[in-house]
Amino acid sequence: MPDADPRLYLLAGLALFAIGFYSLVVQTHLLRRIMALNVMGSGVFLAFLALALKAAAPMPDPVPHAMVLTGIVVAVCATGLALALADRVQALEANEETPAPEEPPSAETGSEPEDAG
Amino acid sequence: MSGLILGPLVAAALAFTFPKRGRGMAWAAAGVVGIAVLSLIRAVLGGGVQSHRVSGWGAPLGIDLRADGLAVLLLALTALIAVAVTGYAAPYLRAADSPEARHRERYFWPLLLFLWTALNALFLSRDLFNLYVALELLGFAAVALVALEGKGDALRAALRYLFVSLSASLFYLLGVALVYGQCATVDLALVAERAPRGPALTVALALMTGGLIAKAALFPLHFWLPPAHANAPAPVSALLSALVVKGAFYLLLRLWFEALPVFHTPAAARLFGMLGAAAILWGSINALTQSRLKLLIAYSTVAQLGYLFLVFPLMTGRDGRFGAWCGGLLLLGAHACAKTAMFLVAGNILRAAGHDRIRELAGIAQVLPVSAFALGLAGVSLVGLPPSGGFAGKWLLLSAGLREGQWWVAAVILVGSLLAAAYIMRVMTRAFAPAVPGTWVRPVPPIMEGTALALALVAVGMGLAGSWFVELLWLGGPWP
Amino acid sequence: MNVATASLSLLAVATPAVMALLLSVRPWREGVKRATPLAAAPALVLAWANPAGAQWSLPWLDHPVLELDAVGRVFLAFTSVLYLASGWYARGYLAKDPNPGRFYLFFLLAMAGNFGLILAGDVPAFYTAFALMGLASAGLVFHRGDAEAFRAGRIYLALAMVGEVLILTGLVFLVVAGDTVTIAELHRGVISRPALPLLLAGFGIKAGALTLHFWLPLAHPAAPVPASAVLSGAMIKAGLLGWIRFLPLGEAPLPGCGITFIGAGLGAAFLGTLVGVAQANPKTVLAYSSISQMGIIMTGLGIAAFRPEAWAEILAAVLIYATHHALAKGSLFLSIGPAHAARTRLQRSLTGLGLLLAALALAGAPLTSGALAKTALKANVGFLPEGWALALGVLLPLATAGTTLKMARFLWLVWPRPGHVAPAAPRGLWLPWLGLLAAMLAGVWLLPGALELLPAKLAPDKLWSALWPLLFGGALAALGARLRRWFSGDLSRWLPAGDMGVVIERLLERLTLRRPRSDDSDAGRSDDPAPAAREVLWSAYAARAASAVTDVESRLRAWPVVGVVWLLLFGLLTALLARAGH
Repeated sequence: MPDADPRLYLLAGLALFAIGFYSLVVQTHLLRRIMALNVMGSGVFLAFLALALKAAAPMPDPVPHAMVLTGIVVAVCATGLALALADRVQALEANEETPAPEEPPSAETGSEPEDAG
Repeated sequence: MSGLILGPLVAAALAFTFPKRGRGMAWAAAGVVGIAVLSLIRAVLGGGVQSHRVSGWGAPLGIDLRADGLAVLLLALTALIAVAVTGYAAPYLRAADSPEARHRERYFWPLLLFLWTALNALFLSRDLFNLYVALELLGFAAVALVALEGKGDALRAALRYLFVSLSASLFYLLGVALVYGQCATVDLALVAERAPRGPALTVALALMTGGLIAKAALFPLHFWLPPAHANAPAPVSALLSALVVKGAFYLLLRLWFEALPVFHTPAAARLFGMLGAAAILWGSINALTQSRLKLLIAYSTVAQLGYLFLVFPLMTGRDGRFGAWCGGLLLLGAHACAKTAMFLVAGNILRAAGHDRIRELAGIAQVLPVSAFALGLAGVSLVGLPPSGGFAGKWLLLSAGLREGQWWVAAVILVGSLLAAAYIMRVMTRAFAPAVPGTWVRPVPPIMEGTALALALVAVGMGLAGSWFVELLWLGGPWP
Repeated sequence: MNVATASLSLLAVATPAVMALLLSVRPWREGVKRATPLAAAPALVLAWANPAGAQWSLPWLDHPVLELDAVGRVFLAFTSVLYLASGWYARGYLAKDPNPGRFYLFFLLAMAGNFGLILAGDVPAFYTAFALMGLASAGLVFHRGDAEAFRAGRIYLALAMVGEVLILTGLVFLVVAGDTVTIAELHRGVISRPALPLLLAGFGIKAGALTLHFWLPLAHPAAPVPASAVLSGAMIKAGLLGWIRFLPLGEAPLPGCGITFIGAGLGAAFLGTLVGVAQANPKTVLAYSSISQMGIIMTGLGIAAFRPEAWAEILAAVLIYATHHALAKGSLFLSIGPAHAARTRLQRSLTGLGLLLAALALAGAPLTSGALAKTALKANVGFLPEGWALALGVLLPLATAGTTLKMARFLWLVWPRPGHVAPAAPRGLWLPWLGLLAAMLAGVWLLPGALELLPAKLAPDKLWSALWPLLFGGALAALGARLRRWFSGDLSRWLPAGDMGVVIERLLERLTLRRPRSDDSDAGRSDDPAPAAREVLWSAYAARAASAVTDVESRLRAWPVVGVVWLLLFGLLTALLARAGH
């Protein structure tokens, strides 16, 4: 689709970013929040690609593509780390027999230090 | 210069592969980095800003490393703290010979070395995208280190930290994309040259800044810091409070004063100053209300980070510029050393008493006199009494504030000092109370007390080396 | 710069500091403790010899860090004598102390700070030494370790920290305005108005100026006797030196400062008498007397603030008064030990004589150092406008009568009585005390300008004007002693030491009474040396505030709030950045 306006991709990227951020803040399920982060990341990558097109050259600029590749590697690592941590948290909470396995307690109530007050 | 990054990186890989050699690898990396930093300081003092093109490729495609006074200073600070933590962590991690302890030790060393790599890369990188990669590496290592304890609170704090860190990085990365779209480069110097005025770069700067203030735990986005720093093992808390949050602050300085200096406005800088002031007050008040020592120290970090952001409004004027810059960075250095000392002391107290509830800590001075002394000295620097680095930094900030006619900055600094004195005194009066029999159960190895004291002494003595700081910071700083 | 004299000024400050460090070397500890009085010797030699060019600097600085000038010489002289005598006295006094090492550590550090601030040539050096002295003397106040000492120490530390902050701000104002850190050059031409109130209040805390004085009658008596002597004799003068060094006295008329000084000074003189005579602890009586005496000195500074051209003469008078008070108050404090330990008739009469001499000197009896000091100060009252001069002419003698009254009270409290069975006397208290007494009798006459005042003093009308307040005060004391027989109990119940401070404390305690239950169980277990009720932070008020803070903090932690705050910040930032972008 060489004829499509690259600004459309940029806007789509920003929209994805916004949707991702919204879900990150609103969702309580850990897996969903990790997904939300990935959506945010995809939005950023899309923005990169759109901006690569924007340069008034016949071929898209290759540098943003390289950056996106690096970014994807970083994102995969991040997702892996987050999944591992989330798994450990859920395993611990299952052991502690907290109610409602469907909706595990969100991090913000969970990480209250024991006697912060 | 690449040895500064490769040294700890190789050591980290080796430490991961040969778990029994972890501590040895850390010391080897310390040796390599130590020599490299010292020679770099000499080179910078002698010949000004140093740059290095990795494998001969230059910007815009290759990776450039560049060391000016600011970078060298932070590299040296990182090396100092990393060495101290290395010395401290060995006996700390070997407290018990349980499978958990061995597991913890197995992963601590490679993660420490990765963290060190990331910090060095952050301080030397000169393009926005490499800075992003370094920032992410730093975040991963830090999150994993917080999770090392393996308990529920620590894991939850780590996960929250990871969420904040990742989303903040994405904010930053989106800003980088916009910058590339406008300037077709991400090299700091080239961006500064090419940057066209316009809304796109303004939004880019706002996005990057918005991400970085969350990573730097600026009030009111500090919410992730106290649980993460307080639940991590003591040497990790020290690294996080002393260095990791400063990494984001360092990047902010680079962005605002080097890459996009024409874009920031006095009004935005004042917003930073006000958030910083709010951080000082809110962090200190929260520190006063904590019942656990490590949480108190973590909230004190929130407050002390506030001082760093006072630099921004003071940098908008002419007269106070350099003084404010030097003052802020001296405070950064003094806080890093003092806070490391405090967290290490907290670790000693945890080891000796099995808990860190402030109310039940009578008699630290009797049982752990060296630790109590270190805590007192670190407190002297946090409060800003002479001749500590904290004093020199506050002095410079105060004079800059008065010179610029921004008296509110002076008022905030002074109220912050009084509040700091109050929360330090809360602990110290307890420390000097007579010990209750049965409170102190386990001995603490002398090296754990000694490292804390050494860092506290550095923090207190730093004020005397103020002129050296100023000389170094002049090199390659944002001055005409 | 002569190397030998330069190193002497460094030596004066470094000797006590290095000795404090050496205390940590276990094998040398006993030796250092015994040598503590000698730590003051280099300073005394420096003050005595006054070598030309006694300044020392760091190689990379172009101004002196340590420097001896005429004012500093007088301060250094009486300060070093006091530390010498008190250090010597401490060796005997602390013979049975469970933790003498800690005392010597803080004593030596305070000494280093005190000498340092006197010799300081630039502002950072002064402030560093001042802070060192302030913190180290807190260690001396805490030393006894009982509830009373903890209470005194806390109040002292809180006020000292406020003082440090006020002084720091004031000094930075001066440095920014004068664009120099050298003390001698600070006031060349510019006067920084905002600095004045800050410095007045900041140093006022150390000097025990009225309304900022209430820590003093708690802290000075709480410290061991040799520490009280230097606290009341030497360290209190650091506030005075701060005013002399940093206020532009003699540069321009400062009516605001003048009114503050005279008002607070006279107020302190009379309040000190009123509360001081009611005290049952002789050390508290002496502490109140210090407040009164500093008040009289402040009156002198007040005159100078009105009449800058009279500054040189007033400064000489103030120096005479400061020296006299330091030595007299020091020997009064040190007399407490011997008076307590006097057993034989000879010892009793000897202490009686010494006590009487020091008390008369402080009260300003003719031919004593006190009379000289008062003459010197009164000679300058004439510089004031008519009405002021008249008022001061009446009020100053009355203040002297008040001093006499306090001295009578003190003598009555410590006078060695035959029936009294003394505890086993610690040895080695007599010589340092007698030595300081001798210094008091002789010392003031060595000061510049002192001997010139002698003829004026011997005129009969002057003699009478020096004598009547004394007789009046004595008569009041006798009357009071008679009246007292009708009272049962202790007057200090009604006028407790720490006057205003006690009122503030009571107010805070009242809040504590409504403490929530949840906190009680915790407080019961605490082994706080001060009663739990005094732990101000955990009063109900503070607890409620604390829980509100924690509440807000936990709200800030919820993710939806984080998201909104983050976006708000981002929007605000964009808006503010966009403002000048176009």
